[in-house]
Amino acid sequence: MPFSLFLALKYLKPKRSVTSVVTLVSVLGVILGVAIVIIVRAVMTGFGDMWREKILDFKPHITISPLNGGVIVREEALCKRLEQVPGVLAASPGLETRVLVECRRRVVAPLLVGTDPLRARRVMKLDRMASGEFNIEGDSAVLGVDLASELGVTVGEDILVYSPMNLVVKNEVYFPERLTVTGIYDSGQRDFDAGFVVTSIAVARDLMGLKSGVYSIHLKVADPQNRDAFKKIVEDVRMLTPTYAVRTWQEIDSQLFNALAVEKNMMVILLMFITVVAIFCVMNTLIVLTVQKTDEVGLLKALGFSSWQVMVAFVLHGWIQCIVGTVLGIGAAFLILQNLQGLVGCLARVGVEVFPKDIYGLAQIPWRVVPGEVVVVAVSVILFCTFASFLPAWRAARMDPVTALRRE
Amino acid sequence: MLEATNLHKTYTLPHKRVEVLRGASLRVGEGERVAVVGRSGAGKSTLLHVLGGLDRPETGEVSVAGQSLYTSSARVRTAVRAAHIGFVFQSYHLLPEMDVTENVMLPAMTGVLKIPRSEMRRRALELIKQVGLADRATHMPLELSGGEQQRVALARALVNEPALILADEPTGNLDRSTGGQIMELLFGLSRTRGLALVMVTHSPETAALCDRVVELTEGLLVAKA
Repeated sequence: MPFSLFLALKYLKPKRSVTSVVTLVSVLGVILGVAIVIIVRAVMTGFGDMWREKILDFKPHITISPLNGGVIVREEALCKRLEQVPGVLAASPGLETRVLVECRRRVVAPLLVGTDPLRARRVMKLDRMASGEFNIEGDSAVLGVDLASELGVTVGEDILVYSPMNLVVKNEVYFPERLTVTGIYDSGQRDFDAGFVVTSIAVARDLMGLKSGVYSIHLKVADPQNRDAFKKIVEDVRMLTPTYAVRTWQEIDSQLFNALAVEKNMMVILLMFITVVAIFCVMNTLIVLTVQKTDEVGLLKALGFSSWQVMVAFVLHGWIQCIVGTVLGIGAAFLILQNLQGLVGCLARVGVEVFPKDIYGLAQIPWRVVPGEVVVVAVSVILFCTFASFLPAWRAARMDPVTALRRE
Repeated sequence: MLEATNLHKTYTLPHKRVEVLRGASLRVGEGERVAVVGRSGAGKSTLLHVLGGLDRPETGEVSVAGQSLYTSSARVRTAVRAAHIGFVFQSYHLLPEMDVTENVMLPAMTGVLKIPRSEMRRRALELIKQVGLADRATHMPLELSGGEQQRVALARALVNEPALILADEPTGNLDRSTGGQIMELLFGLSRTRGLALVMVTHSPETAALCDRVVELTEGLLVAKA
């Protein structure tokens, strides 16, 4: 074992010394700092994943629409051609428009989605039905659980749908479309559960005054989160439909994903300051140690140890604290994440609601640790720590042995 | 063994310049024991630091075992110090985190001898036995008396088998009887190993045990009868 490491380890476990307590406290600081950064990153990543999953389940992965508005004609043939593209699971024609829905004299303005009843199930994952079934054949509609509760409607009851497209027809008495609610879905996401009415293409066309055609074609692909595979599919689709606008799920919901990314990064930057404070504790311990050990440093230099050996010993002293703190911090983070639900439950019992269920609508707090992020945290902490240890170590190393020995 | 010529050393204090050494010269042969005496504040410790390559003089030169200390780089000077000079201080200066054996091994850990850790330990244990502390090898310094701590410091000074020992009042912190035992040990080891010894002392009895006594007065070293 090199002398510098030997000395650093000796200084780390002094007997009957206050230094050991100071060292312990500074290691504890690093443990907490590292653990908090990893936990927060993991939970933020989990939230991002959850959003992504819900969006990918409910919304199309790729949307094809005419470049300058208008409608897509011969949509059936185009759908069949698009379904031939490798990686595309299903293509479904769609019509979307804002409507007014009335029931029991309550009026709400959701987005009406007209879709192919046969294909819709493959494009929209609506297997979580709160009541009824996903059936949009004939004059029927399926809506979200929050919208249903807002309107006070249940399965089997009728709703009246007013389309703005029909309201503009002059000198005509307009009758709203009467649709029967056949199913109420619960996606677990308030935006989706409160903002959509799903019906057949035929009903949607009636409401929009269209005889044929659709506004867009929605595609579902096998693995939309596989960046390379998804890029390839988008390229193939663009080749097949050069005169249409092709938009991906990331482009459509880019604001949400950007907001999540910014929030995560801001949080990480702010939390890194906690770690920096912890590292200052390590630096402080080292400064105390070098002052306390002035005579010994003088002696070591008198005995023939080089300044470099002395400096490395003190840098290693700080380094070991950081490495131990980082490793234990990572361990603590995993331990806390594994028992996150229990901890949040305990907090809830004493009246601290960390994740109110009615706001987040989550049975469990989502989290996912990205190994790369843990490596970044560990490397940054160790780098910071090296800089922090260097200053007191350099001060100790350049100490004049004679001045140190004269203090006797 | 040791040759110091025309050493000048000045300290600048606030509003005052103190010329500690004003052309001091000293020559110590192999195995020769020299006592340095002088009143308090005469600069005896400074002289010892200059002779040991710890404190550069303004002028003059020191050579140990044929190697010039102050015309060489700091690295060479450090290596010469580790290989050829053993220090014994008044305050022992043992490292409290290390046990007796580790403290004695310390100078060997500088790496100057390039011997394995097992050989360092063997040498240390042999020296600990020679200074009469065989049963205290695993004790910590704080568990030892002052006399025992100084014995450990003596063993430490000898572990690299230096040719020269520089001792700064090694019995200054000890009672008369314990001090006498330490001196006996130091002179015994110096005799059996043929070590040159330069020792700063206030005690005329201790000085009388040496081959030669020099007095540091007015910054010069003067032979004393």
